[in-house]
Order: sequence, then structure tokens, then C-alpha cells
Amino acid sequence: MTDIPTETPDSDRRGFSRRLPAGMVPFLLKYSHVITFLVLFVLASVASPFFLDVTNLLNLVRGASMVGIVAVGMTIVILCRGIDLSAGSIVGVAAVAAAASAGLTSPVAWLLALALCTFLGAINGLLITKLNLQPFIATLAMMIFARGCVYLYSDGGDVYAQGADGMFRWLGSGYILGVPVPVVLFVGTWAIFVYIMRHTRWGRHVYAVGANEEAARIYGVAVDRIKIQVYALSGFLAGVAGLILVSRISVAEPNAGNLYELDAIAATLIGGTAFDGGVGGVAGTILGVLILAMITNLLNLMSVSPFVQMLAMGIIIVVAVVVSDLRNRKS
Amino acid sequence: MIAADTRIGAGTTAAAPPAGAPFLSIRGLTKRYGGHVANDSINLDVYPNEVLALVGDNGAGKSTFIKMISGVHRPTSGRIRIDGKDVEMHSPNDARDAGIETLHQNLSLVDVFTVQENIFMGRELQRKIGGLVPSLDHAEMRRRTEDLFEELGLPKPDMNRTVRALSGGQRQAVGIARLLLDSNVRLLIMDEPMAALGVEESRLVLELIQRLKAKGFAVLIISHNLDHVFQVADRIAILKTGRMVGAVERDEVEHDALVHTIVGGRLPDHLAHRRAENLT
Repeated sequence: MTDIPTETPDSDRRGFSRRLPAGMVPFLLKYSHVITFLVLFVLASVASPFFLDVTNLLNLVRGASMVGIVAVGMTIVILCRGIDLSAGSIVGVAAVAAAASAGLTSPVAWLLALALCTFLGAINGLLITKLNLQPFIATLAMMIFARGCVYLYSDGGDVYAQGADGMFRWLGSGYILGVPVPVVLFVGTWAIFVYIMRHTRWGRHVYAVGANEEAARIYGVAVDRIKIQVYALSGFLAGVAGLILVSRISVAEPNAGNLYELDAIAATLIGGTAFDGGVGGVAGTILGVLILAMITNLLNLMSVSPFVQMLAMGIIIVVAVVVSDLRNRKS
Repeated sequence: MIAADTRIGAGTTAAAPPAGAPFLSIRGLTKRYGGHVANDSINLDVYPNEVLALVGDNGAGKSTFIKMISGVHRPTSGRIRIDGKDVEMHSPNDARDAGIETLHQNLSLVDVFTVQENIFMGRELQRKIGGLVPSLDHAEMRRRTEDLFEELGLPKPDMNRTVRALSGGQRQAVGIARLLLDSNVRLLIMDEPMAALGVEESRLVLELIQRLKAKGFAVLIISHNLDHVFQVADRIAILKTGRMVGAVERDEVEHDALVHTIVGGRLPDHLAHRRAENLT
């Protein structure tokens, strides 16, 4: 057979990369989030003697676990070329629903809350597939609607988890073999979905829908079903985060989970997932979550104002997206 | 049944007239959109082991015709027979089950997927670990992809690169290889497979089409490039304003005569016996 000409990407020879040895740039781009994570980690341990303290590290991950679980769902939605702005509001729904039904024993309260959140997520999916709404618009509407439900039920005040049993608090404050339960839930959820996205047909179909919906449809991928499932899953995971949140203080504040979706989107992008779908993965998202948490933690330990922290995060998001864009254009 | 046997044997000579029973037999196929008749009682036979080119001006009804036999649109009236049996196709999946696969223009590949991921999209091989946990069989998919390329005489692609990094000809080869994964495929429909390809790249695809014929597949291609049509086709079917003018052997017709037929909608007198209405 004859050789077929291949277009070799020659962008290596342009711009800033000119001075670096060949092969170095793709490597740096590919592992930019890993490198950022390691650099921050070393920086933090040098800058503050308290950073490497086990309690500090566990607290750091525990604090990040709720946004982290939401971010796993968000990553899958974004891989499917969508967005879920309602995730934070659904965290609030779960918190209030679980607090309100805590007296029915924890498992019942949890199931009720999760079923409700999954249902709201599925409605997002139905609006997007059956009414052809843009994901941004459908989930913006759900964000407002779900938060409205929370305020309506709580009348703007806190909802106390009356009659809650010990299990209710265990979810947020307990330990399994010395590891906080929220950390176990976060890392466990993350690991399960890393597996599902890489090694199951369902995961491949999510990527296919996100990368080229038309081709996916032609080749027999049930596009609408995948989308509905993806939004239902995002609702479910937001629900899990809400259960942890309400469990920690046994009170659901009406603004619980407010703006979680934005942190989750930031973590997804920093973790290397492309905003326009089909590229990236859940694996990187844990680094995105931890990078955001470490910045906050580090700046706290250094007594830097939280307002400065916001500036840092804004800059990091821009850098992360530019880098991931460069990487995706190369592969 | 017949085709299954011929598929194993080597190719027949290019100019041999179609022999045996047709794989696909179309009679009186009509598609109306409101008052507009896009396809008007079309008759056509497609045989195993042949490359049939469908030519005609823009708006002649080529796309409508292709969509009906690939299950995308349903005909208003008329019959489609496969191996002598009437079939009804309600979706591309029905056509696929009947052994008809279609290479769509521009829509066939996912740019950010690797070759293997593209080939298996929508029909990934999945096992159950311990009868419970689903798990994709990456190794087996890789092996089958390599086998497929070897069988088609294509150079082995770099499995880890996305198809975006491939040349136009390579991409088209991946798109075609993708159609052949399913072992019961008999007829390949290709809509402008050489469009937007360079000379060398077109040659690669034309060679591949010849090789598919040699393996016993029927290939139906749409092309605007008559040079390509004369290079690759055994027979040429001409559509004009929704009607089938007829199907001629490649060697019976000159380039200029074909252009006249496409424009005028009438076969030269010495080919009157090839007219579509003579098919019964």
C-alpha cells in the first residue's frame, strides 16, 4: 500500500514554544493541571508549616467534598456539551427536603431528598431534549425555580432537622477508618465515575453526544436518553452534596449551596475538560477541586483577604481555559 | 445467500455485465413532498460485486433516493426488495439490519475520537466482569480495528491519535472501514466520497472502492466528478428531475454522451434497451 500523507501539526514551531525542546510543549499542556496541583502543594507546604498537618489536609478535602461531588456531575454534563446552572439550587432543595423529613428516619429522608433532586435534574434533561431549550436557558430557569421552591417552603428562614437520628449527622461529621465520611463519599463518587466514563458504553456515549451529536445519532446512540440521564445524574449528585451540607449543622439555610455550580464549573475547566464537550474527563476534575481548595486554604493560612482569593481564582480560571484550549487544539 | 459466497472469492473482471440475481431491486419508488415529486417511479437493480454510480444534476433527486434506501425517509409509494423479498425500512437501523450501510457526507466521524473509538461508536464491545460490572473490551476493539484495516489493505493507523490529525483520505478510509465492522453488510452507499479530496487522496478512496467490490460488496456512489465515475463504476445510473433515465454499462458510453444524457434526460438511441422502464 502507498503511504498516505499525514498533516503533521507544525504549531510546535510557532510562538512561545520555539525555545523548548520538541515534545516538551504537548507534555506540559497535557499535564498542566497536574503540574499546577504539585506546584501549589509544594508552595503551600513551604509557605505555611501548618499546611501539611493531617488535620488541615483532611479539613481541606472535607470542605471541598460538597463542591467536589457537584463537580463530578458538572463534568459529565459539560462532557455532554451541556451546562447545569441549577446544581447549586438543587443542593439547597436536598438540604431543605432532608431537614424537613428528618423525623422519618435518615434513610427515608435521604431517599426522598435524592429522588426529588434526581427528578428536578431529569426535568432539566426533558426541557433540553423535548422542548429543544438551550442547556444554559433550561438550567437557568431551573436554578431560579428550585431556589424559589426552597424559599417558598422555608419562608426565607432556616429549616431545622427536627427529630434527626444519629445517622443524619454521621453523613457530614462521621469517620470511616479515620477518614471523614464526606471525603469518602467525594473520592468514592469520583473514582466510580472515572471508571464509568472510561470503561463503559454509557460513558463513551456521553462523550460521543458531546463531541458530535449528529454523528452519534446516525450511529445509533440514544442521544436524548443520554442527555436526560446526564442531567438526572447531575441532580442526584447535587442532592448528595446537599445531604452532606445539611448533616453537618442539622440546619438547612435557604441559601444552602448557593453558587456551588460556579465553583463546580471552575473546577471542571481547571481539571482540563473542554467547555464545548467531548474532551477531558472526570479524572482531572478532582485536581480542579483540590487546586481551588488549596488556593483558598493557602491564602487563609497566610491571612490573605478572601477578596484577594477571588481575584486569584478569576485569573486561574482564565489561565486554565487558555491552556486547555491550546492542548485540545493540538491533540 | 448468494452474496455471502461471492464475498469470499476474489474480484470479478470490471466490465462483466451483472449476472445472477440483484441484491437490491427497486420498482416504482416515489417520494412526494406536498405537491412536489422528488422521485417519480424509479426502477433500479443493484447487484453484488458491482460499483454503481448515481449521477445527475443538482436537484435530480439523488439525495432523496439515497435517503429512501438507507431508511432515513420513507417512500410515498413503490417497492424495495432485498434478495427478492419485499422490505419496509422505517429507520437507518432497519436498513442496517437489511445489510445496507451509508457513508454520509461530512457527518460520519467524531473529530476528537481516536480511530478505534470512531469505528466502534454506538456499538462498543462491553463485557461484564463477574457477570455484574460492565467493562469495555478495549483490547478486543483494538484487535478488530487492526484486522479490519488489514483486511481492507489499508495502512495501520496510529491508534492513539484523534481522527482530526488524519488526512482527508485517511478519514474517509476510517469512515468506510467503520461501515464494514458489521459482518452482514452487503451494500455500501457513499454520498460524494471523493468530495474535497486531493488527487492522491481521491485515488486512495477509489482504490478502496475497487477492493470492496472485489470482496463482493455492492457499492452505490453519488459523485459529481465524471472522471471519478468512469474510473470506478461498472454501471452508471442517470437521474433527471426525479426520474430514472436508465442505467448503462460504463464501457457503452462516452464521457460526452453521458453529459448529454444527464442534461437532456434521454439515453442515446443505441442504448434504448437500458431505459429504466424496461426493468420489470
